[in-house]
Amino acid sequence: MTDTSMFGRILSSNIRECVVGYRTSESAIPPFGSMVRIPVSHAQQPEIYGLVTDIQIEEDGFLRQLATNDQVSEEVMLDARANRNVPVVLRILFIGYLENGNISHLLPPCPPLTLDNIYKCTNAEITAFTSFGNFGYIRHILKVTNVPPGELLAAHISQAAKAQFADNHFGWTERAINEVIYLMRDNYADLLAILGAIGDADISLDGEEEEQE
Amino acid sequence: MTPAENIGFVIGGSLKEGLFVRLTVPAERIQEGAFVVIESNGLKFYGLVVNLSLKSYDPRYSQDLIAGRMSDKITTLLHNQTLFTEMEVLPVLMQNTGPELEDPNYDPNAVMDKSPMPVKTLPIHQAPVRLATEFDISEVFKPKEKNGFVIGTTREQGHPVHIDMDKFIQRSSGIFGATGTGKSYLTRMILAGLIQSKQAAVLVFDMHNEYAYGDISPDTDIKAPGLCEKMKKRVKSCALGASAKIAGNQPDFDLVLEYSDILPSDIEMLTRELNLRETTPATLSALVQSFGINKWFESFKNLTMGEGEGSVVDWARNNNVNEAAALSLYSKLERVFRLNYLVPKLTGPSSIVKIIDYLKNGYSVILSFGEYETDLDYLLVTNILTRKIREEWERMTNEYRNQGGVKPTPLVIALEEAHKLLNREMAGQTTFSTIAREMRKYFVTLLIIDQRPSQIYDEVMSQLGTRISGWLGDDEDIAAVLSGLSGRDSLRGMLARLQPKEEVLLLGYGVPMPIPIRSRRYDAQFWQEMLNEDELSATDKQKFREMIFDDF
Repeated sequence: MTDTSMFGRILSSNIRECVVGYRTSESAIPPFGSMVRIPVSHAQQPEIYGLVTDIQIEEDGFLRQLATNDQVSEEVMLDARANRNVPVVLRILFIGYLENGNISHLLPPCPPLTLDNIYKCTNAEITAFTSFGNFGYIRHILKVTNVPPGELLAAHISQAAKAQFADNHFGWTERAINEVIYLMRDNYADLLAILGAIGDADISLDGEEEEQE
Repeated sequence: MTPAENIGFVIGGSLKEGLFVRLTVPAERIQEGAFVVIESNGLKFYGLVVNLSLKSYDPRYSQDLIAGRMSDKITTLLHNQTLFTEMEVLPVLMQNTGPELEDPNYDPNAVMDKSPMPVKTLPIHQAPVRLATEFDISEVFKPKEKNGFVIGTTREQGHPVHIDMDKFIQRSSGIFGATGTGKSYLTRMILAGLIQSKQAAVLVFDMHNEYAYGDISPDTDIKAPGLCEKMKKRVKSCALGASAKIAGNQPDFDLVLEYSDILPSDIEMLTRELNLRETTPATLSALVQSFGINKWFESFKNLTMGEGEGSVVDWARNNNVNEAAALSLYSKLERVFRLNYLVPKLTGPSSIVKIIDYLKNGYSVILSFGEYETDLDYLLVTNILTRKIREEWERMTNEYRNQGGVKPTPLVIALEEAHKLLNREMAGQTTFSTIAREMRKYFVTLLIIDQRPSQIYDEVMSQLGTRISGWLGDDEDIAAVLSGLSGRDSLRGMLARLQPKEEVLLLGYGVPMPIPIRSRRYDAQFWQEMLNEDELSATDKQKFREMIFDDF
């Protein structure tokens, strides 16, 4: 599977976020904080960008029975994981959209429809979106409530920094962290928590991962 | 000339409190007293940095040591945005620069007064702030006429700062500084500039014999030349007493006084020094009535202490004067009777007349007191001389104004150890306080040089136009130097924190705005520049031209 391949469909949505059912036949779940895009199926509708803010794997009735068995064979275990009755559910936070070739960091004008396809973003898409404007989309991330915003930011900056660095865009990480500090400096405790999370992600300010000591 | 780098932006302030500026450069690049410029909507504001404070967006950003908890780079980014320096600026002058060339409101034919004026409004929020360039300093301090004197340079960038000699002599001035701060060298430089400018004649009362032929610098052991050595054609040296010498040098002439030069008022001014009684004025009045105004001193001196004809007692009885009062005055005046430079009758022309003639003709005179170093000598001689000068300049001015005569040469009387003559007790009695208060209109002003300005009478201090002060340690002295000036609370710290040597604060009438500077060094280079002034002016002009062309 390539980065651009579809990995699921919309289950429910609103103007801020959506819930996605993950196709377990695909090889890898998009990681927490990774950037995704949803080409809305309506004509003339924008392509929405979002971040994975949660990944929920729920049990179905059959798994309860399996879990109580003393021995579960490898084949049964793989089958139960791949051919689930209840899909893996991803929660996506909207951070902007693309309309007529123009990027916007506002919330989308309307949510995607159910069963719309959702795709992972390529490095080029990540670079284009995160380089646009002046980090306006970060305000959406800082207002996320279902996960600690610092954790989400750290994961996003880590992914975006790699994409920027791969595209020879140096200094992006520093500007992004500066924007976070600017937006959060009134809230000492939360800012330090966010910077702590970014620090723990070992993100190099030059776009490369710092070497582990 | 490259555009000056912005150092911050205005974040608030008022005309009363001054402006608050958030620095965008490290605090160590800016010093208290720095001359800054703020440009805002066609106005240019000139101000002084009067305070720097370390601030934080939230106190916890400065109180918690977070270095080590996260990477150095993230810590640096956090500190860059949450910790900053706030600069307080005292706005002093503003200048209308008009719209820019590209501004639609620009009118090439508009006539606009572009001279700096006292600040009357404020720049807008977030107006950029920068350090003054050489052009800005020149715009504010360099007089339009050719009467500017480079007294020193700005401390940060070394741009030359001028004082307007024409304004400097229009009102009395003062040079202050604790001992060892280079006061007398600074005075010599200013006097040299004044003499060179030909704006005024100068009479220096030189108590320590250092202005005419120089002295050895206690710091460098190098001889610092005197004004007579370097400006022979324009400066005359005079020593008190017949055949007196000044530090081994033969003066141009000496000063000897006739008995008839002394008036009762001269004696009354010595009340404190001679510890005279309250009866003295009455006794002196009787003496004048008895012997005449020209002969009273000589005749009184010739009386004897005993009884009988020709004695003080006999004279007192015959003139209805209290005998004890007359005897007391006689005994107290014996210190004056014994002064060698007082003679019954001069054989040649009067030295006082000679001094006055030199001064009237634009020459400067340095009167050295030589071996006569007591307060009595200083008080008596300076009083007699200034009284006669005052009479002469008043006469010349009245002639000039009433009969269309020649305008008197402006005269500056330089007075060392001024507190001896201008302290609270003496000021009301000496001619100097009158000069400080009233003689400006008669073209005579004082240049007071002192290390204890707090000892000088407030009324005299308040009359001082230009004040130049080196470092002062005493709070009362600092308060005295700043008395009567606006923004003195802001300037107080600046004065107290001057470098003890070579840094001075310029204040008052002769400078458009207060500014701390690094004064020129009184050395061979100074004299080389002074004596080749025309050449220097040409160099200055060339530099100025280069600045302008580079700018465009």
